[in-house]
Amino acid sequence: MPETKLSRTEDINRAIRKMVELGEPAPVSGLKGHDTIAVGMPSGAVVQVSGNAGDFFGALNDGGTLTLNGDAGRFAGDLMTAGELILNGDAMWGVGQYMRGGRIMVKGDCKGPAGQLMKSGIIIIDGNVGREVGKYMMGGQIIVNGNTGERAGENMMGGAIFVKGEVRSLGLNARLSKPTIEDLETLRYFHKQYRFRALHDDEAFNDFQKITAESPRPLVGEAPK
Amino acid sequence: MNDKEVQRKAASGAVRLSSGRPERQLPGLAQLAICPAQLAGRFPVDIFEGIETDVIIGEKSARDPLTLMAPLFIPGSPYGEVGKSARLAFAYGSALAGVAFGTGEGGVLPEEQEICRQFHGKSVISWGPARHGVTPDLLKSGDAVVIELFGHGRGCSTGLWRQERTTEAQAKLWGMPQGMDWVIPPAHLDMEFPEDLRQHVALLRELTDHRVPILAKLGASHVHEEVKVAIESGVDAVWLEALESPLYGAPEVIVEEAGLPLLSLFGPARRAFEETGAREKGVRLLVSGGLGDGGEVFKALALGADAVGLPEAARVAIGCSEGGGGNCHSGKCPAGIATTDPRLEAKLDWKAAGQSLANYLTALNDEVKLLAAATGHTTVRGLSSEDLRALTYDAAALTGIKLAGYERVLPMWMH
Repeated sequence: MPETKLSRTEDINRAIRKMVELGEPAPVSGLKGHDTIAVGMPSGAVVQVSGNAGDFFGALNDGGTLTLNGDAGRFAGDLMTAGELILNGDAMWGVGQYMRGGRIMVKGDCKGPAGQLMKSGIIIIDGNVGREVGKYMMGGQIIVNGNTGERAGENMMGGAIFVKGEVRSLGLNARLSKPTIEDLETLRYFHKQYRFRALHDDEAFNDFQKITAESPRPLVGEAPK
Repeated sequence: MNDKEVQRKAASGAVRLSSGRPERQLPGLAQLAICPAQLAGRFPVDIFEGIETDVIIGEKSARDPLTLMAPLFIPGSPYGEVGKSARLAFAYGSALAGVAFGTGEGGVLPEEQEICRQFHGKSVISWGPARHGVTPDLLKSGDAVVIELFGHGRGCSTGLWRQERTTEAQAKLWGMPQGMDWVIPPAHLDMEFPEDLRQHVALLRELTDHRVPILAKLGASHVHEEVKVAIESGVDAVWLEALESPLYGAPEVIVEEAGLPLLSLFGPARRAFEETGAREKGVRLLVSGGLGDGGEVFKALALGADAVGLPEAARVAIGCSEGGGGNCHSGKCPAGIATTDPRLEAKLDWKAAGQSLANYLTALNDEVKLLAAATGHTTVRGLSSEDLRALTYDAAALTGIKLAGYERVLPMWMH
């Protein structure tokens, strides 16, 4: 199948959907900042994109395996429910917002927040992440191999954020602790799978800190008796 | 100042929650009169010739536009805020009347989908700031998607579904964990700038393969500016929710104070439509809040709306005795509407309640037809502000229509 060489978002997506329906991988090359590419991909879809994506790349992914060899705009993997999204570059604001399942791997930095109001799934960021990572987070895991911006875990209620670098500051209701043995096993598993850049030996895993919620209901306090 | 309220705050230090419409007096549609046709341009129409009241949304951009057989719709009430019986009644009644119902946040019950299949019901799926219960399949399953630009309490506050009020069934439908509160952010977490609305419209169009219309729902605030942004974002309809629209379990100060009344929306909305050429683009204007009888619906249509939402009237039609408000947030609704308690829910026969809703919508549509005929129109699409007169100076100033007696638009509207 020839790689998609269309210029309009609508046409690119239609070509991708056609290949997915045929059960074939859908390669797209020369992407130049197009928004909303490969959204709502179903289980079994394989989409490989080269170039730079605009906003909402792979949003609402419902089980597809999507790879972007380039940088992503804002809100990549937005409200993703299943599947895998691999970004071999940097991502702008808001990776994995509202995520409900699946896995996102960012090989570079996230320039803004990530995983806000996330309910499940895993986001791995091999570089740094911006402010308010995991705000309102209810479940799932975020792994940051670099540093976080300010107010990490702001008003989170569930889930966990693992940070290898510096936590600039903690958000309301967020607390720091050491990862458990089980947590370290999970981190090793993902390192084996994705090869984190900053991890060269096993001892480096000891640098990770874990951010969790102080209380499961930070906004109104404990339930009335 | 209310002395008792000051004392209550002094004693408790707590904000009071409320359900329903504002209690204070607001300028309303009663300040407008309808002008029957005689010699000024047209004659009355014979009602038996048939008056068209259907409305099509998305005819220029959606492969399957949404057709309402009457200029009416039922805004969404999330499962949890109302029970299953009420949800089914809304779906069934609106399907019988040929109009659409909103799902509210939190997904759609399988029984509602079955009603839609069996009775050709039309659902409008919510894309709100919390996204609870939203999945790609859900978004693709509806007949339209509405981007709600604000969360709980018209965007004025961060909302919460407290864990004490949520049930296992609700958590299952919404795909949510139990044992914690569910946050409703005041704004979308994937909308950095107002102009990002355009990206959301594009996202939802791509997801649905351009099949269904995309709507934007706004609380009535900076109407002219915000309606323009919405239109320029490429939506098929702009839905303005007025201050009179009920809120359920919101801070009382938000219920009473946040937003503009219905009467004040039409002038700036019409101006935004004119400046953007929205009518030529096929964009529709929807309004909701405080409407319930044929005269009010007619006036809203003549002022520029294409269809009106009936959130509180729909509750009354299916059996609410509190005027669509009251103590809905307690979860102990005696009519079995605003509750998920199975014992209370069982009081509401959804099929009978749905039939009552359909009866109400049919009668309302007939009233609109009667008034359209009386004002010389064979279709509600021909209604205009010329069919109305303001009875007060204030109403003329708020709406930009002619003041009765003066028979002209106030000078402030002449430029």
